[in-house]
Amino acid sequence: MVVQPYIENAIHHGLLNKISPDKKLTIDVKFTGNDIKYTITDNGVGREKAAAYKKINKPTQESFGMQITNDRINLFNGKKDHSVKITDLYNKEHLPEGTLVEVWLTTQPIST
Amino acid sequence: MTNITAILIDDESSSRNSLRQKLQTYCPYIQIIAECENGEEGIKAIQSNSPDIVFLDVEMPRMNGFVMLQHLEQRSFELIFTTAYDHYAIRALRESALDYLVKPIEIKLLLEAVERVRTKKENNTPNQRIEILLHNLLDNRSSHRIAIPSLEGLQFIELSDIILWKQKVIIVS
Repeated sequence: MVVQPYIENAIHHGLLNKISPDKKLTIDVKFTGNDIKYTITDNGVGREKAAAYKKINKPTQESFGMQITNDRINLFNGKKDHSVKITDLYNKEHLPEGTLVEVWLTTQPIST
Repeated sequence: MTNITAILIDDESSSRNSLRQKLQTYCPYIQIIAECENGEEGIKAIQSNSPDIVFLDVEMPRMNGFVMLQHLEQRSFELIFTTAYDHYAIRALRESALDYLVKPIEIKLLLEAVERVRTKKENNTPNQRIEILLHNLLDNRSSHRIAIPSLEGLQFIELSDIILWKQKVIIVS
């Protein structure tokens, strides 16, 4: 549920906008110390191109989804930031090739 | 009955399949000459086939239905939008008096829309309506216009010019 918006974005903006049929989405979950780390990787068109398409197709719509989700995760972790890291990926020719999203959720000890 | 040619443009194959089956079953006089899964293909198909009707989806990746229309120089076809329920698009379509069908498409409404296309041949009005639609959607923040059908055809009124709206229905028996 927490990372669903990032997965939806990867599909909707990254992969659906891609013309080539080579579309890949990887979701990885692992424990790292006290955190659960989610890694969501797509090989879509990248954030810059996706934003350009959105500007053409929905010029008047403002988007708050990412900010709201980031705020929610920071709040859950009791941090101000650093819970979410987004990296633009590039291929060997330095052309955009997808987006990498890392999300850290602090695990809460169950009190008995 | 003369044949009517149609092109279906929708990124979801299930939507195209469902519309194709409905047209084949209930509107056999409509001949589907092309099916396209994105706006780029749609432009090519319209330019090379000159269809009578275009069934156009609104939400599509890269180029939505509205933007696709912008890229067409010739719009000498009747247009029926197909869209999932979406406030943003439907309001724009209502204002421009363009025909639209909400997915999943009801057979009764499909038949009515097709019938309107067959019977009406108002000169240039589809194009005028598309102009209004694009004006309202894409000219950011500029004034909105609304299309009002009247006996003389469609009248286009700036929404900001309207202070009071009254409707009088006269029934002629």
